[in-house]
Amino acid sequence: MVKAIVMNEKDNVATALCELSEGSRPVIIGFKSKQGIVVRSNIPFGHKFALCKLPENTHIIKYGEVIGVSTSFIEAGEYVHVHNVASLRSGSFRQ
Amino acid sequence: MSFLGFRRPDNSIGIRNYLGVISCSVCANELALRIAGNLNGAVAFTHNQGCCQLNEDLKIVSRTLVSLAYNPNLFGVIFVSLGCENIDVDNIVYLAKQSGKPVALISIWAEGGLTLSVSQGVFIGQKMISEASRIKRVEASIADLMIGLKCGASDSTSGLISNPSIGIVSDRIIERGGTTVFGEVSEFIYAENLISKRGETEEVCEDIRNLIIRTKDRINKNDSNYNKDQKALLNHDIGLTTIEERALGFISKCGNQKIKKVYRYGERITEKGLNLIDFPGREPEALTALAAAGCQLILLTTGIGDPHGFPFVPVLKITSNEKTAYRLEDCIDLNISYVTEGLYDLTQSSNLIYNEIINVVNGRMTKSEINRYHSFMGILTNGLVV
Repeated sequence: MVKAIVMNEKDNVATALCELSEGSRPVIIGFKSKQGIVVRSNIPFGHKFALCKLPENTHIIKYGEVIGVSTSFIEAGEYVHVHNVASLRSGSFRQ
Repeated sequence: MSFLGFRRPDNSIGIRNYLGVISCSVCANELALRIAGNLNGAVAFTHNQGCCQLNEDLKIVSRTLVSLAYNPNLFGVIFVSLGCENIDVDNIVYLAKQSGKPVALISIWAEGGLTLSVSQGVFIGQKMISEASRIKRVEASIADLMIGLKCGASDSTSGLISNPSIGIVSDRIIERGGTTVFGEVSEFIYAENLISKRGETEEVCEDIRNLIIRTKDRINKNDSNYNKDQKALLNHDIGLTTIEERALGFISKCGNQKIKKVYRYGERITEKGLNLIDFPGREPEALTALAAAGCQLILLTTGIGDPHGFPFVPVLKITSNEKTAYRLEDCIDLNISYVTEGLYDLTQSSNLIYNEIINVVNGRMTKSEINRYHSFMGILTNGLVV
């Protein structure tokens, strides 16, 4: 069984708990309300995919907190990582 | 739940019963290793500080060495020195003796060379260990425990499973009157909005905010590129996308209790409950801070595998990465990856960790104790060596 985890009910991303191949429909554990998402590319173990459509400049939420912002439109089930997410904090270290 | 431990003169409870051979300066490390290496029941603590340093750094090293001598896992201590170091060795010995434990000093200059220092150290150490071995374990409670919380070589499973699991364990230890300790300030800078609200009083919240400011200043003074590449903090290949994500995974290991007090590096913990010490992420310095704090046991969660131990404090290695648990079997004590096999139930994994704590405090040896992966430790200083 392929699995992914959602840490908080506010989250809009899930984390893969095994290698997920394109087109698979992982069972969601943790906060389970978002079942049935089909992943749109291969997702490595420990990496994330979107639980819903995320327009550009949307806050990415994991652990119920903001972990960054989308830098392009992200489709539900799409791989979410450095290619489409930016940190909100990396430029503000001196503040 | 109770366990059997070793009662010390200050009423603290050790879970191990070692003679510590503690080097006062980098120049005496060899002596510490040679004395401890000749004695069954002795362990050496070595580091690279204690001489040719500025006053502020020497103060940090002194208080760390005194605090280490107080660690309840030590029956007694032999401090070793070269004899000419900047650090005030006599004062360290005097302060360590206030613990009520047997404390001795061997100096290469005073003894007349390395050979005589080793033989004198072994001679004294033998008597101390013989005394130590006569102590019987007595019943103690969770309230007597101080447990360090640390993560190392994290991956994305650390923040999903092992860190939140030890967070639950930390809450449980504190509910039973015990104490837990965390630090690694550089790792939670990006969750400062959450952590700085966790102080028990507004004063403690202010101390946390100031600690974060000091840490940022320390980093900025030393490396202006730290902010850009952050390679020290973030490995994208393992699935962590941003430093915020990493920091949030980090703070889940502190559970939900309020922070009682913020301490400087090398200080001993005075408050029951959750405490925060100013120490960095790197293991040799971090584990030393936890041992100096008075921790009898350290829980270390790891994703891709961290082998570090400490000479006289068991470091219980926990992973929720199944591959790591099998690939680094000789470093990992506890595999909780099965949580992802069934229902995601952190009660299950935290119970497993809690039970293993009881085993280890009662004497079960951890992998790093058996491997002796602890010969080269460190003390954090501001850095200038002259």
